[in-house]
Amino acid sequence: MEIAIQLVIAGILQGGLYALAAFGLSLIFGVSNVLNLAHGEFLMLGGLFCFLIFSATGLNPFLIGLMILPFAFFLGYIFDRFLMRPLAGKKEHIRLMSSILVTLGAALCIGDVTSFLAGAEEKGVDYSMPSFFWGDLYISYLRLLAMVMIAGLTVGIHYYLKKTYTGRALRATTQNIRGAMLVGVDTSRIRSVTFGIGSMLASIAGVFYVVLLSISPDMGLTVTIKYLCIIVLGGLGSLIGSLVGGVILGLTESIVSYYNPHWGQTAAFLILVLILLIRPKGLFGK
Amino acid sequence: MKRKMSVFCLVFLMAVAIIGPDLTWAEDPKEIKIGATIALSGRFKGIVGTFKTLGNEWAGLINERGGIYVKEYGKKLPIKFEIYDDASKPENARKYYEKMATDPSISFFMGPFSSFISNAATTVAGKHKIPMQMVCANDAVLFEKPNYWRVGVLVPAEDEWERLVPIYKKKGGVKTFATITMDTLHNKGAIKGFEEDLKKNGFEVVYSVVAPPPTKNFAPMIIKLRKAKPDVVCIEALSPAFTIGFLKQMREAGYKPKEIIVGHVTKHVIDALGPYAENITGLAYYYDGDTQDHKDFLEILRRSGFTWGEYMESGIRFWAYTRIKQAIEKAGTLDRKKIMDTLWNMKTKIMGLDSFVTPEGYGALGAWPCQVQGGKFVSIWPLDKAVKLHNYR
Repeated sequence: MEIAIQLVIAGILQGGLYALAAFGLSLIFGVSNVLNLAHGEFLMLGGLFCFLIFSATGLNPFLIGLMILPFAFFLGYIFDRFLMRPLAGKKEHIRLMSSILVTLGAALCIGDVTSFLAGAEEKGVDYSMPSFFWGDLYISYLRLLAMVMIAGLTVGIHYYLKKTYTGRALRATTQNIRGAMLVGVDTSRIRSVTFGIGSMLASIAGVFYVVLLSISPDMGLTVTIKYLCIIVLGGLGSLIGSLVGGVILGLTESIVSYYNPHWGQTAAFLILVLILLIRPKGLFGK
Repeated sequence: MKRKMSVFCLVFLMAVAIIGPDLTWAEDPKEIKIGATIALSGRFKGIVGTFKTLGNEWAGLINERGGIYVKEYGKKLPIKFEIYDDASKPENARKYYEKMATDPSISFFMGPFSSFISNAATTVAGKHKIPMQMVCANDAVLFEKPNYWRVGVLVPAEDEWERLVPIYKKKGGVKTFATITMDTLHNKGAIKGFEEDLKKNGFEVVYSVVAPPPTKNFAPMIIKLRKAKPDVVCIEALSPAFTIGFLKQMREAGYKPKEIIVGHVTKHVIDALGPYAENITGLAYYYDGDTQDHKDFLEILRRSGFTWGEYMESGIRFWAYTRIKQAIEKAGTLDRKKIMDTLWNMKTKIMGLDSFVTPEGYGALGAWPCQVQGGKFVSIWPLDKAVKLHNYR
């Protein structure tokens, strides 16, 4: 019984980490209909900046994470402004294809440039928090923090979308771009803001990544594919969907890996296929 | 007469045109060129990306002394590397070795990093009959198929951990072991040999698991590990991400074994773990000594700007460079077949230790224990020194 509880705890906490990273990707797709394949690179850059500042100053990595948020927003904003906006006027299927190619190219470029400038070695930040122990059970406070953060972000962004002008404009752009333009919403700016927010969320996930695991310049595409699966599982564009999708993936991986580590990921992706067969739009897709 | 002269000239010119290329007087080579690929990008860059500099610094050091003496030409020739980036991919390595095989000025190949990239490269060496001194490659798959044109420098992967067992046997204090292995040929081979060694010496392996390289969630394995309560936890993974992820999660789980062994411990691993890395035992292809080879190795490391502990595989490179130099000197020629014969038969000393090639093509270089002490790598061998210097956690 203890083992089962521990596996569930580990799975949920791992899922929280996945969800945190998938969150921004889902938001960007929801607003812009763009599958941002460079999302993992933004995560990696968040982790890298955290590592570099931590190595130079020794500051708390989460404080560094907060400090780099404006920069992450700016990075996402200009990414959209210069790479995505020129595609905005194209027909939908052309836009989707072009955005995949452009973001893929950008991902490869960012990875290579980072490798050249900062080195290709694995980088990890040495920071730990004591875990909570109850008999043989343990809960990692660091992972719990990631879970709390993703829950807080889900609620926070939900209210942001409902209550603020930018949030409402963002939703309007998602639902009907022409309608939004007709009522005076600057849809181009809204898209760029969304990319900025997505990039910020990726950067927060990157900080957790570099603290809990390690980062390297070539990790981006691998993690992006995993997070794409999570948002497809949860329903493209659904924030709660990415949270639930992340947790399902984490739980499945955890339980199956206990019996055989080789089947952990396979089982998680089989569940993805099964859910998509039953609900082709994902769990919370509309 | 005039007509006869014209016919003679024409025949002479035709003869020169046909057999001329074979009759040209061969010029003495101006240098000894070694062709190689290194992972200057891709997933292995972090492990070997600095070795282009290391190779050039070694060549620089040898050239400062005039180069390598080749008896056939009666003089020393400078050495030069021609290095391409294989981006950690076998198909790139194959492409570049094929390209270099068309260059007659390249006398020698040096192998790439890892067994699976070397597997691609050795086929090119065999096809074009160009001698190849392999470097970081010692998995059985490479040596199962006969290929005269390649030799290794390392002992088989199964023997890599063999120098650790005597320390625990002599020092005592630990009985049970757990092994966590990344699923690659090399890592599995190394751990298989180590586990057999442990059992032969009366130790018990209480938990053993092989996990795929992209594993990020180690919690299920750590739950089992905590139940098994081993004294020693061994991690054998080519990828530092695997090692760092596992050890950070073991720390989260509060499991404190008496000893942690990391098969491929690098500077980046200890940086990511901070003080937790203290007293991690590892393996390096170097131990302290006082021979001229030791001095040369430390000198090229100094010039390259890193230490043997930061890039463990640098010791393997040095052995391979030295074997190439000794083979050319002993063969006294740049004739490819004669050099290859010499590489197979040469019995020599490097860093005061025997260097030779087994009938299968393996080398004699094994790994020696080292330990992280005071945030730095300390060489702990021979055995008496190891027992004295080695600390449990």
